[in-house]
Amino acid sequence: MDASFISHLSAIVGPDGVVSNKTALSVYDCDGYTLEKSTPEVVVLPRSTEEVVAVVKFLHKEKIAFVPRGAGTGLSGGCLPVEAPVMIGTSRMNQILHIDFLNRYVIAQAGVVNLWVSNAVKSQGFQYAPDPSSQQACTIGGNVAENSGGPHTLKYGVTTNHVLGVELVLPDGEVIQLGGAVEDIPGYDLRGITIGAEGTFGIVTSATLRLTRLPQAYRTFLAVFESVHDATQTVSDIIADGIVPAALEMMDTLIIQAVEAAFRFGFPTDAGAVLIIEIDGLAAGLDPLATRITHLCEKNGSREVRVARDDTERLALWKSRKRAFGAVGRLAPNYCTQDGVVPRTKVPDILRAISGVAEKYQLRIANVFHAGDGNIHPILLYDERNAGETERVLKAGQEILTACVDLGGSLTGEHGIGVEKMGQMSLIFSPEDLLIMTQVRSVFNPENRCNPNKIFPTPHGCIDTRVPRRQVPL
Amino acid sequence: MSGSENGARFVIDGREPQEVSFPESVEQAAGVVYTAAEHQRAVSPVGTGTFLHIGGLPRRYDLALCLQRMNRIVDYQPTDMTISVEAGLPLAQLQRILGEQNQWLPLDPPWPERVTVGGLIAMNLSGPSRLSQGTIRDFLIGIKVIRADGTVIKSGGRVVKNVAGYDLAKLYCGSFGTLGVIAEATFKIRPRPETQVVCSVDFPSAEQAMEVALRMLGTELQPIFLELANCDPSEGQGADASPYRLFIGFAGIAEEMIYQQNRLQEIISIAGRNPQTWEEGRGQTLTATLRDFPVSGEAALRCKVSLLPSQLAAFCKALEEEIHVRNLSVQYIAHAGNGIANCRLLQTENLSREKLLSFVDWLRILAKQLGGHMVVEAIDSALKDRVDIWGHVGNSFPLMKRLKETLDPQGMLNPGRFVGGM
Repeated sequence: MDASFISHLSAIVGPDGVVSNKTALSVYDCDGYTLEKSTPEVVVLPRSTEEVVAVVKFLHKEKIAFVPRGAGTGLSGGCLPVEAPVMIGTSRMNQILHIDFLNRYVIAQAGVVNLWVSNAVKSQGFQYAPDPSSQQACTIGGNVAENSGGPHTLKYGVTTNHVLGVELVLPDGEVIQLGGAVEDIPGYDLRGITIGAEGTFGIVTSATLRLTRLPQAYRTFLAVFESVHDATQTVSDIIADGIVPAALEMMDTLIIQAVEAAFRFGFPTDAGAVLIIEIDGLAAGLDPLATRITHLCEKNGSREVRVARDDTERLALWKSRKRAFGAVGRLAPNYCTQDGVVPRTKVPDILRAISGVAEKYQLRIANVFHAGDGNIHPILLYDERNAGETERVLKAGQEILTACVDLGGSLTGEHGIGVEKMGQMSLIFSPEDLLIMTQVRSVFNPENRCNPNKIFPTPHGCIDTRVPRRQVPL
Repeated sequence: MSGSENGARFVIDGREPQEVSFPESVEQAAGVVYTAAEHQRAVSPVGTGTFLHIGGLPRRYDLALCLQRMNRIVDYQPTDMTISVEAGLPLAQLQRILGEQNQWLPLDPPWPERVTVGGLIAMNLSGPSRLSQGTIRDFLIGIKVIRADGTVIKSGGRVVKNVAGYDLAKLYCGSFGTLGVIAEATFKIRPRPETQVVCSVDFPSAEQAMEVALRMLGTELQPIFLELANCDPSEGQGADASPYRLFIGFAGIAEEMIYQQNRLQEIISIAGRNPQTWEEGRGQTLTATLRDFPVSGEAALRCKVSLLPSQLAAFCKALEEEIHVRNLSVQYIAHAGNGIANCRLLQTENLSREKLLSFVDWLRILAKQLGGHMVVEAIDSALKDRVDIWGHVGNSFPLMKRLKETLDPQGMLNPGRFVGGM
């Protein structure tokens, strides 16, 4: 990038809003998916919609491709710059612009961290329901791009169910409002298609978020099982019994041991698997439900069903679960995680398939995942220094995704396709399915200069595929 | 392949289709669309033809593609809580099948016996329970669509969480048959609540009713619906003269019901009111009456006004004053927690066409002044060319138009009837 280009950007966002120094740029060479890396030539950090517009208009005029980035916690390489020299980061767009308790919504800039929203409305008894495990770091803009999930989406739904509207800067710099706090405005649900478009339609600069009442009461259980099979059977039985818990999460032995070593919650390290089961709602309704759940756990041979005694214990339990990925570093120098989904009753089958894959490729695979949704997160552990291990991991990952598809599932439940799973799209989509998607993209992004080379299988050149140098904390 | 039948059933604004086709499978329907595209014939997808009064005047109406015979259950996995069905299946039939497993698709649009799954999606229909359950976009996890050229595409799948590829299913929710023909849909479903009860409370003014309604939504109470009416939707039930009434639905297990009813009593008694409880059979009848309000009875005009919930009281007050001045009779039932008011202007002797049109203009301006929107859902076809049925939808309209042109370049899918004449 030449000096006049940089100075033009500086004039828009201020000199402190442009990163062009090589060392500083290396921070931006990947997100939470570290198997592929690519460094942008310049990072721009606007503070407002107006600045985003000015930057994007300039890039449009210069015909330069760009990629939006939030906190970089994504797990599929969604914000990896691939033949896109400019990265537009939203980290300085971090203001909650409006809170309306009466009408139960919030307007937040794209760079606002997910958890800040819930923290800002907690005192009035509200929350922003989607709670990705990275919620202490990930941004609303990133959540919108990926249509993020989280443990409590089992009952409450994912990002798209809670985003009422978005402000979108199109790749030519035009600003449009899609949806909003007033419901049922007629027309096509462009907000709905923009959510989960992985930043390929433009840059979301702010979002109108639905607020949800905090439940009156919770019951949080830790059910301990001798085997993964018993635990997953319990998951199926709970769902089949017509119970929709707020969350229903599973961890297997490997994860339990890592998490216990990291957080000392008191997990039984000799257990085959544990389930974290949470129900919430009116206090009056929870006891009968708790009895049914306990009974189903016991029927499947659970060794013990512990109930969180108070809010402190409940929060400690969730902290352990949400930071489980971070604890994995104790198990192996490197890891890679998958995000396949299967119909909920097929969870026992996919777990069996995963252990088969682990055996075949001689890998250790840890499992911590959203069992109630059928959304698995097998974590493939490896050491990049061992010859051939990285390749075995990649093959094993693909085989797991194929197994998900064979069981009637999908490639990704909440992490997105990004660059990681582009090659697998044709496992679930026909050429016609992919064609209409790229046609829809062209409506928003006709020249494909906003986050190019993502989602759809295309040959791409200047990407540096190599073993990871570091793990990004989640 | 596809039968032909008198088009009288599918008249839109006085126009009969030149032809009606009744495909029995997705493949057949795709074949019909392909052939129609080849011959440059406009296609309007229809179900039972119940809601054809909604929408603008058709620019062309060559072929009514009736999906009623495509009414199969494609796949139902009760233990996965997902179901895939063909678009012609009536909602009530779907609910009956789900009901056998104590499950339901938690949506309650008007006339479930008649509305088909495809119509439900294409028109984004909803009912009182949207307050607690959401709308069709929250439950549609997979879709199969016939494109304007007859190509069949799909999006999503049969899993409840899925971010592979764009969420195309959302585009078809409320698309009014203008982007493609919805052929199959997969829903995530929910356990059916064990019991349901309706309470009602009368108020001397809409403002007081709304104040209590909004206060209630700030408590731990979880009403399944919360409706504000300025009329008695359950005539013959011996209601008193009080003109404003909140209807509060609760659903769940017995313990929750008892708790919520007691809490409601507390909240209401602060406002000096007393709730009335509608027992099982009467409660069900009342719920159905509330649900069907947007299409039931006779009306010279029906419209849907969308506002922030906090603006509903102001809307009701302004409306009341205006209809008094204009000497009109307007009934409404509003989804109080969503800010959506379904209004109907009754046909009265003194109601001239000009008076009607002037009232439509006034309503639209009022909705806009209050930061909201108004859609005309039913009006004399002869007046449709003098009314903007859908209203102005904001600065994303050019993008919508581009989308329409991309997915239906010949403009052959339900032409003219949607927003901005799309």
